[in-house]
Amino acid sequence: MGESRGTQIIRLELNMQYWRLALLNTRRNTRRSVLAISLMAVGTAALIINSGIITFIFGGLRDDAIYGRFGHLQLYQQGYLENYRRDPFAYLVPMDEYVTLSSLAKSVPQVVSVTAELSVPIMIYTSGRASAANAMGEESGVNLRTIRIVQGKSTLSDDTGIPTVLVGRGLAEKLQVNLGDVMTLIARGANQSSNAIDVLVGGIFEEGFRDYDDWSLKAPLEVTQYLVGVKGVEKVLVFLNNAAATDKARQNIARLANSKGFLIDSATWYELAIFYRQVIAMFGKELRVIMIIVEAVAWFGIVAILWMIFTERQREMAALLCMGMSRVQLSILFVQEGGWLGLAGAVAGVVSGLLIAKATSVIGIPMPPPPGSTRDFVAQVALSPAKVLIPASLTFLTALAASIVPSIWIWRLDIARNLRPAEG
Amino acid sequence: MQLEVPLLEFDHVSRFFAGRREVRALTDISLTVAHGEQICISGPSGSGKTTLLNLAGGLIEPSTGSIKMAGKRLDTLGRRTVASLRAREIGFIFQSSNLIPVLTAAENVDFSLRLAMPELTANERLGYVEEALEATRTLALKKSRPGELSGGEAQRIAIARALVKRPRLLLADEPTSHLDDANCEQIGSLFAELHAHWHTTLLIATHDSRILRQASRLLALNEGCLTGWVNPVARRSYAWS
Repeated sequence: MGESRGTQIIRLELNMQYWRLALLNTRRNTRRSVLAISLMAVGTAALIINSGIITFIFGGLRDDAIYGRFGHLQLYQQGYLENYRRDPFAYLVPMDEYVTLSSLAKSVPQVVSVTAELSVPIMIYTSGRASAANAMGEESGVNLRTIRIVQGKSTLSDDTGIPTVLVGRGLAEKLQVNLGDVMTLIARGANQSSNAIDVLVGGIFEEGFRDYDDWSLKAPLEVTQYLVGVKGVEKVLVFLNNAAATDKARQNIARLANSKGFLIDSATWYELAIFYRQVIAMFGKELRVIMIIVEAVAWFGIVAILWMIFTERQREMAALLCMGMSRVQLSILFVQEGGWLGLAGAVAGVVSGLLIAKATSVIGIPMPPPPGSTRDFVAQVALSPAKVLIPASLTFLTALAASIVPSIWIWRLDIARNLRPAEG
Repeated sequence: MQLEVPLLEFDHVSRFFAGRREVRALTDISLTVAHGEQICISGPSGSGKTTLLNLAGGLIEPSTGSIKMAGKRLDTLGRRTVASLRAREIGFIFQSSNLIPVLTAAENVDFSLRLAMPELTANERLGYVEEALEATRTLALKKSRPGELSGGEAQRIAIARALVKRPRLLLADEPTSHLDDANCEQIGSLFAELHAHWHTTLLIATHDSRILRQASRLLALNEGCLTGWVNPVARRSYAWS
């Protein structure tokens, strides 16, 4: 049989009384409570800052991957993903189909822009020097948003009669080319013939990934199409207003394409960005380990403080048990006291974490280039409700978990011994 | 005619404490306490007074023998039931007041009442608390915290805390040992008043002659054995061994 409503109210009222007593107890030794709260606040703030910096780095990597290389979504002719290595030009999207597919994709609400790409392995000759490279044929002005232009301009054009290209920094150094130099690009065409074209160095870019910058060249789409002698595109890059909408947009585009009879394959930026996934996995694990260490330190600290409280109040606790308080109630009182300390520690940690994050973001933290990257950067603290609430909740739960330990001591508390008069 | 069940019965109770050497705190104590009695226990240090009170309050269990409260054997009741019994039926007064320092005098008294009678409304509780504080002449101190009280005042609040739930049995362990003469006098007369007006059964371990004088029965303990008991009429005729 369940409790009556009246009994429930009484129980609730009694618990509220305990919550108040627990709160008052935390004020008995202010210095000790401040110490405990500070311990938890520092841990919480450290977790918030660390998690915020890592989130910022993740965000930067994600944006580099999306806007510098992959787009949010890539669309291909069906069969391309399985066969492009064997026969790269057999699965191109013809230009007329690209135009239709582009219109379809643009009708999806999340889509911001659509562009096309045709990558071609080439040889570059200039002033007696030669290098192999990968020419990325792109529609002008769409896929260049996060490319850092080291020299020259960011636009691709062939308005001057001789097409302009952007050269990766490492490749430019290897070929010793400067702005305005002319290079000859040679590629094997789809019909096995060799095609060549002269281009002008219009800019030097640095994408940030050494492998990419050492081997890449960005050219107008028409240049790479000319080099391989095709009138199609290898992949259609779709940019969205929100990375989180990628899967939804993929479904919408696939549904529309199917309804119009297009047979397409697709891949998201997340599937293509292997390096990003590896970094996420590595830092994510590191963050979890740091969280465990910080919370373990907080746990031991709080247990030590509760042990001091327990030893100081044994006589008082014995008196409470004597008055008829049950050991369970007394244990709950300790948990409530730990809960208040945890709450105060979490709130103080959130406030100090947010203030430090704000200050850090204003000042910025100079960071060296990440592994495989050529660019140093200034880190900031990227915060989201989850990045703040998770460390705060963990701190609160750690304090609660620590305050369960005294229930073991309470269970063993000898009432009579602790109430024994000094003599008698 | 049905005989009234005694409030407390000790039947050949002994209590030993194990250790490097076994301590026989009480040996073969048989004792009956009727409702409304005021019994004082006296004896030298280590004679077993506190152990006897602890046994009466269900804080420890006898090594041999049995203890009944209102006809129920305490050793057959579970830990929780005994705790509930202490909350409702038994009041404790200690050598020091053991008040909760962060609560006011009235809140300390109220806390004990909540444990004993959670079914009372806030207004009902207020009535009980004020009555207990009035009875111990501490109503004016109801908003004071223990740190602001003198030893005697704190002990009177502790008595109010024990009394507020109207216990059938009040156990006091050397309640005046930390107090000066004036306060001892006050506490002594307070016990007399409480016994007269509230008819609470009192079991008091004390050396204080002012309290001993008021007892309806005196028990003498020595080395864990009951060496005698004295009734008020014969009190002057016998000396304790």
